[in-house]
This record gives sequence, structure tokens and C-alpha cells, in this order.
Amino acid sequence: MIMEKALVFSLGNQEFSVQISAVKEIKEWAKATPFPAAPAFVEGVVNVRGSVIPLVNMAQMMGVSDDNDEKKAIIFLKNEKKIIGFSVSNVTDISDIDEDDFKPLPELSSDNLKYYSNGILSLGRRLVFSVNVSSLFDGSLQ
Amino acid sequence: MSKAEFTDDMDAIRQIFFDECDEQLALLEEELTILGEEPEDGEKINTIFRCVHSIKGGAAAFGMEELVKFSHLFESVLDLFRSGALPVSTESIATFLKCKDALFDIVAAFKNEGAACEVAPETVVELERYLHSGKGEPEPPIENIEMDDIFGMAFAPVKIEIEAPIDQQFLISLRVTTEFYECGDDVRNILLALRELGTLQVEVDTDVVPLIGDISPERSYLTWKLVLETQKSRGDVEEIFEWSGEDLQATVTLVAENIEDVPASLPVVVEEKRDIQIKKSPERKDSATVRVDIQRIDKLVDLIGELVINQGAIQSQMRRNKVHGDSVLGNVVTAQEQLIHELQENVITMRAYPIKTVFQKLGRVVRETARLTGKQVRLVLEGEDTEVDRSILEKLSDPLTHMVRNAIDHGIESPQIRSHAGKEPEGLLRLRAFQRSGRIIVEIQDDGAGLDPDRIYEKAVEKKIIERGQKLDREEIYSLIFEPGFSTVAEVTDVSGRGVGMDVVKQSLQQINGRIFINSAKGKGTTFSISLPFTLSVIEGIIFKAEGQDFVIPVNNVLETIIFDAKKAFHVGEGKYGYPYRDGYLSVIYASDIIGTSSGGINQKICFVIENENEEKLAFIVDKIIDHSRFVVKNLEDNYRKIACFSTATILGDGNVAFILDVEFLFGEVLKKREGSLEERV
Repeated sequence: MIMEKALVFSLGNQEFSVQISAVKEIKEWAKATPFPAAPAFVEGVVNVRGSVIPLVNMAQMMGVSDDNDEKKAIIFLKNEKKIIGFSVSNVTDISDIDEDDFKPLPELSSDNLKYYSNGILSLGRRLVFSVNVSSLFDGSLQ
Repeated sequence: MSKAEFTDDMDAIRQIFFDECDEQLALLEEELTILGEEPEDGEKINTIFRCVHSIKGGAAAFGMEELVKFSHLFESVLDLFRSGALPVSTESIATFLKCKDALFDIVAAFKNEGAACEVAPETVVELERYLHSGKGEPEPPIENIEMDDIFGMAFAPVKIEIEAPIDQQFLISLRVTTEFYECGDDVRNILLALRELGTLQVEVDTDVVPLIGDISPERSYLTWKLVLETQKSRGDVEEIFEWSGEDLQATVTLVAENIEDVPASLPVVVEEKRDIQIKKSPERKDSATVRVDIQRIDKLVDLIGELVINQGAIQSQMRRNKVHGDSVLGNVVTAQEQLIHELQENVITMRAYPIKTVFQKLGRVVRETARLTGKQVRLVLEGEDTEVDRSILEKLSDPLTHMVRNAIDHGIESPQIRSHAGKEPEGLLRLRAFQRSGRIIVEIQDDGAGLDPDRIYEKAVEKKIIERGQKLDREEIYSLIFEPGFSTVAEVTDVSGRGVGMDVVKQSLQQINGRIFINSAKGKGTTFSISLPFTLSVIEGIIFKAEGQDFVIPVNNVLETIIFDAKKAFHVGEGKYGYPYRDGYLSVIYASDIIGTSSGGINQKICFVIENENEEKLAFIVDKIIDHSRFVVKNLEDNYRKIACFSTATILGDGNVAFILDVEFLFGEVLKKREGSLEERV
């Protein structure tokens, strides 16, 4: 049974996914305007058609990848009110998700990973961490 | 149509009704105020009557019983005044105002779907007394009654029964617009309601129905001609139509057979005063204004903002490609810029509302506060038509309410004290709004006791806001009342002074870039002046470069721009510098300190002399000035959160974001540095 579609992207060598319904837009990465006293994971703000939107380095915020890989894309996610851009290494594809593909995280996972991810998707041989959109927003707005 | 949708529609209609109620109540307040000045004006009392009547009409449709009951009573009393049976006096106007407040409360209670709201019994008693005294009056001589008065009397059907109701025949012609059907209404409902009143004959006029090929399926082509025989009054008949507003065009003509005074040669009374009334209120609006959803205007403002940004992009491309400003293209672009500027100003004024909407609410605050404190207050409003941006107006209501309460509670003295001091027992509270050099000034002026600098000083020492012996000038002492936790009245009163006081007022005004000034004379009164920007969506600013990044500073905070001579800056402490300015010295804040990545200040060439609302000054050192322009303000909190140092941002011609500097933050930095040095000493 297909639950829904997910956008799969990579942070460094690891793949992650978010529910497609939260994705507002995907753009090529561009430099943001930095501001002082911003948390280290906030790259700054960008202009998307007249709105000023913060740009968050997702890998850095989630603490999942310490090699500062090339960032190629920005995924703009939307919750009820706000839009936040997240820079990622690359956007891979859009996948249909079966309920059966969805498995809980191993016990040993780091607190950070447990906070941001709600499970693992096994798509064929690929292993994809499913990311919780509301945690992303909470984390970014700290 | 599913049931859920139906409920939504019902809610929407209810909402419209409440919106209209608010409008009518505002109009009521306005007219009552004018009536207070010109009690003779008969047209005013008519308007007042109509306001109450239309509220009653809507309320009946929604089954809001309390509202119907009270508005009906109010209406009946008003009718006595309208017909001249009772003279309008100051007391009666006071009663009307009370009734208006009561109506407001009932409407509010229904709006919040809260518990039913009880009208103060004394108000009802007062009204009933008028009703009886009106009835007790000898009837005015018959020849003085105009037709309108007869109908007017008949307008209030329950309390004042017209002696021996008679069968009257009305000719009614009905036309409806497409919107009528879109609102889910049906002519059938109207006809059924009319049938309740008496015997009804219906004829449909199909003359204007076009050939089938030309029929627009959405349009209504029919006209209904009705003959209604009823004992009810014209008012009752028209009430049925009133609910549908302007979507239903009804002409009601009374066939006058049964009215003796009218000559028999005129079978139909062409005197259509009442008819005009129904149409009058929508008409007045149609010609003057169009109702537009505020979100659409907001969207327009946003779009024009983007247009401005685009314009900037074109100009920066022109510079890059070395297109001269004098070239043909350059001239066209300049003309375009001018047009966009005008467009922007126009759209921004569309979002402006007269400050009247806020002032009128204050009328009630004044009455209630005066009653609670046992003071006599006359409220004078000036410049109510001054227009203010909606977003500012929304945030202005609370601080003004608080200040008005304060002025009455703390400012204006009780009648006894006033008489003793040789003043009129009635205190004067003047609210004034006007424009001055691109800003809106709102003044709250009372002729009360005035601020007592000594008492404020003592109080501030007591509350540990200042230290004893600290030298402050008069203005500085006055501004102490804006400090958190300051309140001059020892015990907390019902009215004002709940510990949260003027500091909250100041804060909320700061949110809308407002500044507040006090002017007071002991024994003579106090004037608070609030200065507000005209809009929050555009600012005039200077764009500058610091540490390779572009920033904007609001131009109204920049007192002067001077060339910075690094040699003149002198060391006044660890990482702290002073700079000479005119005949004094200023504290220095380097842009690089704030932005963080300090390059040692090699490029720093420009000094902004910045002044805040307390007339404090500082020197702000940046690298380079780029341009002076107007910037569209973007709120950072829309998608992120507050950022210290920058409250807002703007988008530049190249599409990049530039932060707009929050000047208060710079003064905060000075304070922090000063406190830092205090700690060092300890």
C-alpha cells in the first residue's frame, strides 16, 4: 500500500527523505546574506520572490555529516506558517513509500538523529533516513 | 450542497452581519457625537434611528433575541425623539450613548458566542421612562405631522401600538441581482415572508427575458410585481427586504386609499422618503467607496514592492552595462521609477484608514472611566480624518486606550478639586491627530493636574529606578513614567495602574516605530504626543557597506553623515572609543564590532551621527555609503524569528537581502559597554 511520496536527498554520502507534501520548492544553492549572532547552522537569509527566508545547513544542524560537502541544492519546506530553506548536498529523486518499507531506528542512534528522524526507509538496497519536518522547523527556529 | 458547506456559508453571513454591526455602531457613535453639538439636527436622529433599526433587522434574522429586544426598545425611544415628541437634550444623548455601548456589548457577546449579555437594568429603566414620558405627552397637532412621522411612529410596532391598525395596500416591485442568488438567497423566501404579513398577489414580469440564445444562465431577468394587503406598517414590510441589502432592489409604494389626509385624486403616494432610506445607505457607500478584502490590498502592496525591487535590478544592470542616465533608455527608466513610486504611494494610501475608527472606540473608554472615577470629562476629537496605515492603526488602539484611561484617572481631577482650583468642574480631554513632516502625530491632551516632577522623582527613587541624587532634567524625569514597574498611584485602581503601565504603552508604540513625548505643566495639564510613521511597509534609508556586506539604516535616525578621521578617535576604555562632534564627544560604535568579522577597521571612512527618540546620540562608523533610497520592508519574523540588531530586512536591486539596522540596538550596545566598564570598576 502506498502511503505517500517522499523527496529523497543526500547530506554527504547519506540519503534522507522528507514527505513531499511539505516541499514548497527546490532551487539551486546560492549564497545567503549572513547575519551576526546567527546559530552556526544558519547560513543567512535568501530572497525567494520577494520573501526573506532563512537558509539552514541541514547537515550541520542535524550533526550528521562533518565533512563540509559541496551543497548543490536548497529545499524549501513549509509548515503551517513559515517557509525555511535547507541546503543539502543533492536532491536524488521522488519515491513512493510503502508502509512496509518503514522501519524504526536502531536503539544506538544518536540523540540528534532520533530527534530529527522518525525511521528508516529501505528503498531497494538504499537506506534512507526519513526526516520529521516539524523537528526541522523546531530545530531551525531555536 | 453539503451540510458543512452550508454551515460555512452561514458563518460567513454571520460575519458579514457582525461587520455591518460594527460599521453601524461606529456610525452611531459618530452621529451621536455630532448630535451632542447640534441637538437640533433632525437628520442626525434619523440616521441614528436607521443604524439601530438595521442592527435590529439583522439580529432578527439570526434569532439574536436579546439584541432584537434591546434594539427594539432603543428604537422605540429614538422614534419619539425623531417624531419630535421629545426634545433632544444632553441627558437624552447621554442615555443614547449608554444604549449604544450596551448594543456594542450585546453584539460582542453574540460575536464571541459567549454567554448572553445582560443590559444594565438602569439603562433599560431610563429608556422605559422616556417611552412613558413620550406617550404621556399630548399628541402634536395633526397638521404638523408629515407623512414620514406617521410611518416613523408605525416603525416601532410593539411598544407603541398604532391605534386600530388598518388594512393598507402596498405595491411592491422586486428586482434581484446575481449576487442575491450567490448568497444563497431565494425570492421565494421573501415572498413567503411577505405572505405572513397579509394577503399577497404575485405577478412575474418576464418582459426583459431575452431570446434563448442570448440568455446568460447566471443572470436574473425577472421582476416581481406584488400587491400586499396588510395591517402591518411599511417598516415591517421593508424589514423583510432590508436583510438582503443592496442585492435586492425593492420599491415599496403605499396605495393611499386608507389614509384620509391624502387627496383621493392621488391614489398612489409618490412621496418615497422611506424608500430612499432603504437605498440610501448602500448608495452612499457605492459612490464613495468600494469594499475590498484587505488581503487583496496587502497583496498589491507586496507586488508593488517586488516591482520596486525589479526596478532596482534594471538600474543596477544599466550601471553594469554603462548605460548612461541621460540616454533614451535612461530617461525611460527614470520615468518608470517615478511612476512606480507614485503607484506605491497610492496603494499604500489605499490601506490607510482614518484614525476615526480608533478614536470612536475611545469615546466609550472615556465615558466608562469617567463614571468609574466619578469625574466629569468632555472629550474633544480633532483631525479624526487623518489617515493611518491599517497595520499601525491596529496596534494603536491598546496604547491609546491605556493613555486615555490614565489621563482621566491620574490626570483630570475630581469636580470638587477642579472647582477649588478655579477650573471648570468638567475636565477636558482632547484627542488630536495630524500630519507633520511625513509622520502622523497623535496628541492626548488633558487639562488636569499635570505631572509633578518631584513626586515622580521620589517614586522612581523608591522603586529603585534611579539613585537618589541623580541629576535629571525635567524631560528625563517625565520619561521615568515609561520605566517598567513605575506607577504614581499608591493603590491599584480599577481603571488604570495594574503595574503594567506606561512601559507597555511605550513598548507597543515602539513596535510600530512610534515615539512618545511628554509636555506637562503642573496644575495646567499634560500633553502626550505620539509620533508615528505613515506606513511600515516602506522606509527611506541609506544603504552602506561594512565588512563587504550591504546594510540599510533608516534615514530618520541619521542626524548627519561626516567623514570619519580615525586619528581623532580616542581611547576611553578597553575597546571603547570617543569621537569629537560639534562642541562635544560621542561614544563610538564600529559597524565591524556588530557584524563580527572585524577587519581592524582599516576601511572605515564614514561616520553616521545617529540620534534616537530620547535625543541620545552616538557615532556609528561604517566603510562606505552607497545610496539613499526607499526600501520595501520585509519582516524577518514572517519566516524566521527576531534577530538582535536587525528588526527587518529589504531586498536590493540585485536580488540580495540587506538587513535594516535597528538603531535602538546600537544604543543598547553603548549601554552594554558602559555597564561592562561599571563591572570592571567593581
